[in-house]
Amino acid sequence: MRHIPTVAWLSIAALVCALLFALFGGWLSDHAATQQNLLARMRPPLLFGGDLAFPLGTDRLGRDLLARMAEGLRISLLIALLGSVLGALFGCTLGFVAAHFRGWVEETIMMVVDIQASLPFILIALTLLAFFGNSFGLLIFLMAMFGWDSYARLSRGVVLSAKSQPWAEAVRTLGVRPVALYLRHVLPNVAGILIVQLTLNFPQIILLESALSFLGLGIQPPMTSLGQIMGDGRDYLSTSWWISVLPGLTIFLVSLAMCVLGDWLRDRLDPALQRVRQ
Amino acid sequence: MGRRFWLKRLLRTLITLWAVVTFTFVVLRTSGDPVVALLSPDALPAEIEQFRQKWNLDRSLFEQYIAYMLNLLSGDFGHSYQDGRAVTAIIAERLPNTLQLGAVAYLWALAIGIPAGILAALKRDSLLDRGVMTFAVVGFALPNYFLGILMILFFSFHLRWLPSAGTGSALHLIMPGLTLGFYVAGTLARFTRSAMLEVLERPYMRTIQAKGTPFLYGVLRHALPNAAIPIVTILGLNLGALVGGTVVVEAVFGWPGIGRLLVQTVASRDLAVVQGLVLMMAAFMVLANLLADLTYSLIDPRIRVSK
Repeated sequence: MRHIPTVAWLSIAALVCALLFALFGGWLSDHAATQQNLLARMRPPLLFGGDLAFPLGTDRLGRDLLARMAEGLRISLLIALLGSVLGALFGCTLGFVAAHFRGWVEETIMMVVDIQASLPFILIALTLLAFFGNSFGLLIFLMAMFGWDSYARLSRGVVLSAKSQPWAEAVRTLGVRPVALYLRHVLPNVAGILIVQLTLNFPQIILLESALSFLGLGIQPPMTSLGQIMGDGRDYLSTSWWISVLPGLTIFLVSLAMCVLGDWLRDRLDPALQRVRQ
Repeated sequence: MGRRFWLKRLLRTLITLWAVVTFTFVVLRTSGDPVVALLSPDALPAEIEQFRQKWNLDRSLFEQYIAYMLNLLSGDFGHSYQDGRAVTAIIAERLPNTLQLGAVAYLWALAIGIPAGILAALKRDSLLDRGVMTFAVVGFALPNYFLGILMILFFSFHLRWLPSAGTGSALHLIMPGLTLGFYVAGTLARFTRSAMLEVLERPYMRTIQAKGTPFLYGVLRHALPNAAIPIVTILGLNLGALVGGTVVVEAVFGWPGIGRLLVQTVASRDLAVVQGLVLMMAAFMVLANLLADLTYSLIDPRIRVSK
């Protein structure tokens, strides 16, 4: 194992903490995420005048912020994971198809890629939400749609260059079918690049989902996400800052850790990246 | 980049615009009966009939599509079903606010981002460089709604210097403008830095130094123009981030622009207005991208000359 810089270690540690909190954070609390305690509304967190019953304070309905944040983080991470994986699958498939067939198929796919890349994705997301109404399925679909274009562009590029390499020619001469060639031989060769893209895409999906939820157009109650808790707290900033600040800080730290990790991975894999590009 | 390139580029711009227009048409027709979607639930039968005729819903889908395109071309974006006003009038009322906000954000991002990037490149690996890079990474990962909320808490509630929401004075512009431009400033600093680093290593920069040209003059007159292409590219790309950012930032600060209008109309499913806004924003983005490409050949003689 080569030297891993401190920031990368810190990022990994932060992500592990976030994951543990998302999975088991609910156990730290005696309350369910949706349980209202009207006698304990807008309690401040510990160290700011709160007590151990609600370590991170409560919101306007007296719901425990610790339980809600664990629940919200779990849903945010789940959506980002589903969205990334689906987007990567979809984008890579189209990229492979484009590189395999060339001609008008490639032209069309790449044009759609260009069109999506030229528009701010939140516009596309808002349009679809407006026309089809909000649903969990549509939200997952949107997260998968966000970023597929970069996978398509990337996988098309690497397949095109891999196809011209002698080993690909050799495999083809042996009579291996194209699908098997791409899945068994090309994909393992480019997995590193796609993983880097996944790490870079993941925080962006988290940010998009929480932005939509913050605006009240993403995750809908009774489900919750970090962005939604923040949006709820926006109206109580002057009295209960913690409702917005704590989830916001969590989103920030998770996406920061992911970004740092993605940057580091990209730099690590850079020589490989350049070799493939040539 | 000869005439062929520009023809292709122009064609692509037109195709993108056409794709967006068609996309909204298809989505509008597949998401349910447009009468149900666009008219309020308690519309009278006569109103429904009138609406069907106006939008040519009694004709074939292809004829509807043509009529829809012709309406758009003549500037008719339909009417809001909340208050029946023309969509163009509603947008025109909100647009100046957003333009004002966007201009402030873009200007401060330029004023901070480019000099910060240049300084970081000149003092590579110094404390300043680290600071600028940290700022860039934070700018990327910090959601603008969280930054907005932190600013409101600090400047409005703690220090009581700035109003937390609304419009009316220059003071109202400061926080939304800073928030909106933060991401752009960060990425701009990062790209300026890497573009400058690449140029500074070139032999001609050493020649300029050897000639005894004043250092700052050499940097501004010789290095910066050569680093301009990636900077302009990122400026064009960031326009998209800015357009997307207005949606969120305007909601945080209660700023009455088109971003907030979009969120409100999406929530109330005022589809006519949503469609008009999306078409307008998309057209703006596509034209801005074209403009960025045009700028390349203006700032780089090599692109102009090579055919």
